[in-house]
Amino acid sequence: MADAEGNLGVNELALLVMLVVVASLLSISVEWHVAAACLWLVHMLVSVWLAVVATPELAVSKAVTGTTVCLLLIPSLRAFSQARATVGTTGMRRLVVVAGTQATDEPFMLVGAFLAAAAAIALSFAFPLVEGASNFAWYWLTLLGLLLIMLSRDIVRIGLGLLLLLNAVDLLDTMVTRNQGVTAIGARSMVAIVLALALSVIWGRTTSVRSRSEKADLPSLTVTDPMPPQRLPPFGNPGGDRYQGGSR
Amino acid sequence: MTLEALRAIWTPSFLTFVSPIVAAALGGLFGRLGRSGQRVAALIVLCGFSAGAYGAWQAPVSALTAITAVPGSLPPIGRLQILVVSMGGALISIYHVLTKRDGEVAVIASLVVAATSASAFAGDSLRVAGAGIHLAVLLVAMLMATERGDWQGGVAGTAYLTMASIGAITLVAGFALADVQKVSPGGLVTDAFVVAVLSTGFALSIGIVPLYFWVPSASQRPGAGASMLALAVVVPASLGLMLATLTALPQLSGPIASSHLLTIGGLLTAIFGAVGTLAPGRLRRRIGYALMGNLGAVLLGFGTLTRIGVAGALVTLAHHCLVAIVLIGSATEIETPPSAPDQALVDEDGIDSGLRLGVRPILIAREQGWVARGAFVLAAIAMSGVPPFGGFASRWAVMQALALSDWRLAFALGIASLATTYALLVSVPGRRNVVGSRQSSTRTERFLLVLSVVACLWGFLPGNILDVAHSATSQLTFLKPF
Repeated sequence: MADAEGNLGVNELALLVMLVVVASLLSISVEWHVAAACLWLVHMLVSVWLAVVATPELAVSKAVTGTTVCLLLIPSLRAFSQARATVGTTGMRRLVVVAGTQATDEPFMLVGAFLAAAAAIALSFAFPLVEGASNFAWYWLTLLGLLLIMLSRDIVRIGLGLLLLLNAVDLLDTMVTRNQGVTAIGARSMVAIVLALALSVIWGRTTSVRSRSEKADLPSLTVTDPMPPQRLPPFGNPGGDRYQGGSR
Repeated sequence: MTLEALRAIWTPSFLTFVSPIVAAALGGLFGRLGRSGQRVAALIVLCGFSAGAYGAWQAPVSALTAITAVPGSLPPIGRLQILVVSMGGALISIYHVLTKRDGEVAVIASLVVAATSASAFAGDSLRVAGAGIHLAVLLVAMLMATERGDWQGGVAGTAYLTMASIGAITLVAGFALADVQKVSPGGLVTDAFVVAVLSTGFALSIGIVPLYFWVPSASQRPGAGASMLALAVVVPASLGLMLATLTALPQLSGPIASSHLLTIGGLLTAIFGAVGTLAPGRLRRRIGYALMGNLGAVLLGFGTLTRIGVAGALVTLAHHCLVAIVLIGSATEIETPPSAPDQALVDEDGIDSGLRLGVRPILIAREQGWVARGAFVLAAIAMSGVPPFGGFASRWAVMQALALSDWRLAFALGIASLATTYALLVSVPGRRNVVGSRQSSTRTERFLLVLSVVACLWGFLPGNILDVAHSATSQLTFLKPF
């Protein structure tokens, strides 16, 4: 029994180390291959974690959900990467704000990840809401997700932050209520999959709008600059308000 | 055997959230078959809404906390929630069909109604209920990004997805923390902490001051269908989840009552909504602030924690759903610019300049738009709470409950409502500022006018409506007897 408990502790520590490394890599990744792989690995590590501390059913559910989420996101991530590679020099600066990260963001996010890790360690000792090392895991994922959402300037990282946040709260919820019904597990998995679908749709729409506005030299879509300068008539903007979703 | 199994699952409860899903699937299929197919699709979706509302009405009723003991039963508040969101979804679908626009609004509306209905059926399984609301948020965010083809929909969809998703995730964290508090009372997690987390989640999901960031953008930038779904369907469903949470976790009502959290939040939201509506801006942005202020009245009603206050808030919420659809729809009709061949700026000499340019429909533009403006004005007055219009019927119970606790709250709410209505009325652009001419269908404007008249006549059925709401609120255990 003691050996088993000892082995369990080593497993949890190893999983924690891998989770920290993979999630940190996700927060600073520029290439879409790395981001997709890290996101899938985060889901898999959380799945293994659940297999160790909870039930195998939850672990399988998390693994299937994570794989589906990544499969849904890969086409959009690839489209962003291709769009970034095809635009000219003049459009590069505007596109990377939407479609990807800049090299100068990496040290900033890395420092943020270290700060999040330090805060997670402190919180897991000061406010241990659940058992053992799970505290650090969910605090770490929560803080990293919030950092990505709050500090990022591109919608891809915001979406990845949302997925991390969802994973963190799932982990907390699972640790609090071990015997969850099939309905609750299915509902959470459905939320994660539809969130990935929504992110994929929004990223894809952004890419297509970006391509069109590059051709027409129109203002780009950025989260930090939602209202590009333009001349407005007294009531409403004819170009901006035009209903282009369909024909009358 | 198969027939018996089908009969076993073919219950009113099953009908409530399965019929919208089936209708969405069929509607999506027919919607790809051209204009006629879209009409058939809209008809199917309307049938789905009707079947869902019928199922909610016929489903067995049980107390919220006993829902797990009676499978397939529905709490009275959940029944009201399903009826309101079904009504909202149906009206939005009809509006979308009448505007003859392409898009998947009817299908997404159907799925949103199904998700919120599942949320109402979840009863005291708050995690499942929260997941239903989160699914509805995600569907509406997708529609925001895709309904219009320009960048504004993407911005609104991203903002709404981010903020409302954080809110929904925070709610799940709050439910988990409430379980921690139940298991170890007196530990690290206190009731006040759980209330703080849940308040943050609801404020982000509903758009309560100071966490209202997505509301103006969601009102102005996306297409009309997505705006209506977000503000007239998902927000009332989220408030229904708030009531379900307070019922399932009655220990939280103590900290809420002592901290006056709902009252303060409602008052701030009502006042800030009025100020935001008074500020210069586009019409639909002002409408977003006005609707936010109207939700302040709902929160103030909830904050009284009395039956009469909560019943009045529920009636206000149903009225809010109707008014939101009319305001956003009529503002879209007013602001919709002309198609490219007819485009021309119309100034005071617009007719002459238009004739010089050879743009024929300018004369039509001079005559069009009055019906939409009339619908807008009627809806704005109905929302104000000025007797004898519909707003009075939906507000008087809230005002009464507020006046019993502190008359200054009722006074502040009345002033804020009047300021909001004044700001809306002066924000309607005049004819001289109409940009070009529109080929809009007058059927759309007439439909909106009929809805606005219904919103005004809401006041003539106060007893019946309040009775239904009051009997539903009598099941809520956390309320004071009055």
